[in-house]
Amino acid sequence: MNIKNIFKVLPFCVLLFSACAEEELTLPVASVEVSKTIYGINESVVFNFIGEAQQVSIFTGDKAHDYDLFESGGNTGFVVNKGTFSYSYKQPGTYKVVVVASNYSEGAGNMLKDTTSVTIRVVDEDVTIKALSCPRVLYDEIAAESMNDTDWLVRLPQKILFRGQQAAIPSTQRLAITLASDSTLLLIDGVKFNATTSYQLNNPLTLSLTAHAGNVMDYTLYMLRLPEFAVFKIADVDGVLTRSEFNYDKMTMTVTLPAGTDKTNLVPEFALSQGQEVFVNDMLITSAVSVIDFSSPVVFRIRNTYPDKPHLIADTEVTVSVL
Amino acid sequence: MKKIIFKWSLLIIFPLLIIGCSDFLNEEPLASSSKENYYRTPYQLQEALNGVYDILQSNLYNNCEWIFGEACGDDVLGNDEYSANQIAELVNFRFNTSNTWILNRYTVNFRGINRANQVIANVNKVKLSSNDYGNYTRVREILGQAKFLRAMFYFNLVKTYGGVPIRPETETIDNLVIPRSTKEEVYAYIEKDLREAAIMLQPKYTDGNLGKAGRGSVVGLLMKVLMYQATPGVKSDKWSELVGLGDYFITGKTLTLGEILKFDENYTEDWESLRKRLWFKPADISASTDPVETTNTELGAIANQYGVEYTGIYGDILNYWEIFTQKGEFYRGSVFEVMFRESADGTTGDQNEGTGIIQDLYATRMWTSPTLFDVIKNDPRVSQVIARHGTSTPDGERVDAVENRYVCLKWYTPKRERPLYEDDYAKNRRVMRYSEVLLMYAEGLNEIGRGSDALIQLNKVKNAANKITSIATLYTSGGYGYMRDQIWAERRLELCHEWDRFFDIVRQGRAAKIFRAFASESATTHKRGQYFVEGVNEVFPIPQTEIDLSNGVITQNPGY
Repeated sequence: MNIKNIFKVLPFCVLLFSACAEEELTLPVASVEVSKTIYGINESVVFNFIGEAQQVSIFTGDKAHDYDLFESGGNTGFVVNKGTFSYSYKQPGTYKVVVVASNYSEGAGNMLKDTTSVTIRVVDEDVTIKALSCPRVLYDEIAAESMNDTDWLVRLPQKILFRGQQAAIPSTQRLAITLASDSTLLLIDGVKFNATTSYQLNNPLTLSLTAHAGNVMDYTLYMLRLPEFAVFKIADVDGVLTRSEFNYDKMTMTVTLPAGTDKTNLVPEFALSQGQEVFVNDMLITSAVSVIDFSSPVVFRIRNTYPDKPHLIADTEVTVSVL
Repeated sequence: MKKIIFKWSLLIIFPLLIIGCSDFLNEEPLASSSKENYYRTPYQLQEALNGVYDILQSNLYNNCEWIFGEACGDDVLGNDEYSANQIAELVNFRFNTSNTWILNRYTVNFRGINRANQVIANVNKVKLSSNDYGNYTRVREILGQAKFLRAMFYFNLVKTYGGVPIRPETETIDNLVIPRSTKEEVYAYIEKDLREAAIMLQPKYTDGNLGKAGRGSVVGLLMKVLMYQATPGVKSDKWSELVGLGDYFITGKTLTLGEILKFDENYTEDWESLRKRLWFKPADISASTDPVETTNTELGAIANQYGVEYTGIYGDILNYWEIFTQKGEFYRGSVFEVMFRESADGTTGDQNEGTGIIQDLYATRMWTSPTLFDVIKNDPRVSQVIARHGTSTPDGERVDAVENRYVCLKWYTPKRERPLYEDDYAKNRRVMRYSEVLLMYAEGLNEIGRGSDALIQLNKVKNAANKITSIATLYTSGGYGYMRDQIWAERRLELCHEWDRFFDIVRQGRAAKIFRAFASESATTHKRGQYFVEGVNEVFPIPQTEIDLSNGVITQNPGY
C-alpha cells in the first residue's frame, strides 16, 4: 500500500474508532435551588436543579417520599423534568428533601449517583374560619355572616313555619364550623369545640383558634333574632300574621277593618322588643303616632340592632295589607 | 477519447436537466387549499365547523369527559382506582403535574378552540353568491355555533384548571406563548361568546340539522356558566342573571336581543357594527321584506321547544332508561347532544363514532358507588338507572358485572341497538337535558329568595320521575338551606352518571366534605377521596409540559 492510500484510509479509521469508543461515565453533580426554605400549607415549592446529571429524582421527605425509607420502606421519589419540579406540603412540619442525580451507561449496566439535600420547613399559621352555621335549626341550616375581621353574626328566626306547624326556635343550637386548616385547634369559650354540642347563643361566644405554628386568633359569634311585632293593631283590630315557609325575614300581615273605613289615614299601634325600630320607606315610624296610607300594602322594615354593636343588625320585612 | 466525449456530454446535459426542472418546480399549482383561500364559500365554512364538532366526537375528548367529570366524583367506583395507572392517580388525587390525562384534557380542548378560532377568524373571507337574506343567515348560524363550541371548550378548561391562556383567533409564530388569563377573564370571554351565539341561532335544529347547537343549547350552557361563577349562599348578579334566563327559557318571559347581550353595559361598538360582525344582513342593503333586528327585538321563544316528560322525537312515550338510548336521542328533554354514528364499514380503530367507550364504562369499568346507592334506592328512578349484578336490565338482559356491584344503565346499550361491530357503539351523549335547566333555574330562584318558585321548578323534575312508579311524593317547602339541599339531592339523582358530578360538587363548595365521607364509606375498601386536599384539588394543575415549554410564562396553580 502506498503512502497515498494510507492517508485516504486514515481519516475513516479515526472516525470509526472514535464512534465505537464507549463514553466514559462521568460523576453527576447534585445541586438544587429553592427560593426560600419556609413555606405555608399547600404553597408551591419550586425546586430548580442546577447540577449536572442524566436523570434527577427528588424525594420530598413527606409520607411515602422519604429517602431514608427508599430501600427499606419502598418510598419513592419524583422524576424531575427539564430541571424543574414543583410540590406542596399538606401538613406542617420539617422535611428533609433529597435530590438524587444519576448518570448511567447504556443499558444502565453501570450507574453513578450523587445526592444533596435541602431542609424545607412548612408552617401552618392559618387561623381562618371559612364557614360557620347552625346546621340543625329545626330542619334547616342557617349560615352565619362574617361582619368584620373578628365578628360573626347568625340571625335566627323566632319561629319557623314547617308543614303547617309553627315551631319555636330555641337559642341553643349546634354549630358547624369549617376552618381553613385541619391542624388548627378550636376552643369555644375555652372548651374544645364539639360538633354535637348545643351552644347557648343568647350570649356572645368566643371562638379561639390556635394554629399549628402557635399563633392565636379570637373571633366572636353573636346571635340576633329576626325581629317581629309583638303586637300590631290598627283601630283596635289585631293584625293576623302569616309566615313564609321559605324566607324567615319576610312575613305578611292582614288587618281586616270594617267596610267603608278610610284606609288613607290610619295610625298603627305596635309593640317591639327593646332596641328595635320600624321604618316605612326608610322613615322611622312611631307607634300610635305615625299616619300611614294603607290603600295599598305597606312594607314595614323592623330592625334589630345588637346593643353597642351598630354593625350587627337583623332586618325583617312585614308587608301589611288592610282589608 | 470516448471517455472525454462522455464526460462532456454529461456536463452539458446535467445543467439542462436542472434548468428544466427548476421551471417545473416554480409552476403555480392549478388548485390547492390553504388557510388563505379555503373559506370562500358557506359550504367550506360549514366543513370547517364540522371539524370543530369532530372534536366532541373524538375518543380523546370523551375519555377526558368521563375521567374528570365522573370517575373523579363520588357516584362511581371503578377498576382504575385499584390499579397503578394514570387514571388511578387522578381519581385518587395522587397525581403529579405530568399526568397524561391532565395534559390530554388541556390539549384536546385547546385543539377544539383552535378549530373554532379558524372558523371565527376566517368568516369574513366568505363570498356570498347573492345578497339574499338566507345566505347571511346561513353564515351567521355557522359562526354562532363556532362561538358556542369555543365557549364550551373554554368552560371545560376553566372549571378544570382555573384561568387559562385565551388564544388569539389568528395565531402567529411570534406569539405562541401567552400567559394565563384570570378565571374571571376567561368566564367573561365565554359569556360574550354565548350571549352573541344566543342571538345568532335558531331556537332548535331538527330533521337534517339534528345535533347542531341551537339557542336552547346556548342559553342552557350560559345558565350553567353563570351558576359556576356564583357561590351558593352569596348574593351575586350572576344568580339574578341566571334566573332572568330561566324566566325566558322555562316560563317564556320575553327577552330582547339587547338584554341578553347586555348591550348597553358590555359594548362600545355601535349596534349596526355588531350586526355586521355577527353576519346579520347589513341594514343599508336590506330589502323591504328583510327583518332588521334592533336591540329591542324580542328573542324568539324556546320555552315551547322542550319538556320534562320522556317523549321521543316522534312523540312516542319512552321509559326513563330509554331516554339515554338511541331510541331516546333528541327526545323532548334533550337540550344538547354529541352525535355519534355507527361506522359504515365497521372497521376497528375508528376514533369518531362513539366506539366502545360507553360500552366499556357499562360493562367493565365503573359501578354505582354505595353512597349513591343509598340515596337512589328509594327513588322511583332506581330500577331505570342502576341494576345489580345477576339481575336483569329493563329490557331483560342478564347483568354480568362483578358480584354485589350495580351497573349504570345510562351507559347501557340495549340488545336491539347493539351494533354490528363491537367498536361501533354509536349512542349519542346527552350533554345537557331540560331537567338540568329546570334544576339550575330552581337553584337560582332559591338563591335570590324566590323559594316558592324554586319549589315549583324542582317538583317538575320530581313529578316526571314519580310517574315511573306512580308515586306522589314531592319536595316540600322550607328555608334557603333546606331548599338548596333538596335541589342538590335532586341534581344528584336526576343527573347521576352523566359525567358532571365532580365539577358539580366542586362548584357547590362541598367537594372536600363529600370526599371525606366518601373515603370512609363502609361498604367498600377504597380510600378514594382520602387524599383530596381542600383548597388545592378543586382545580387540577396546568400540565407540566405547558409550564416547561413556556419557560415560566404560564404559571402553575397554587399547591402544585
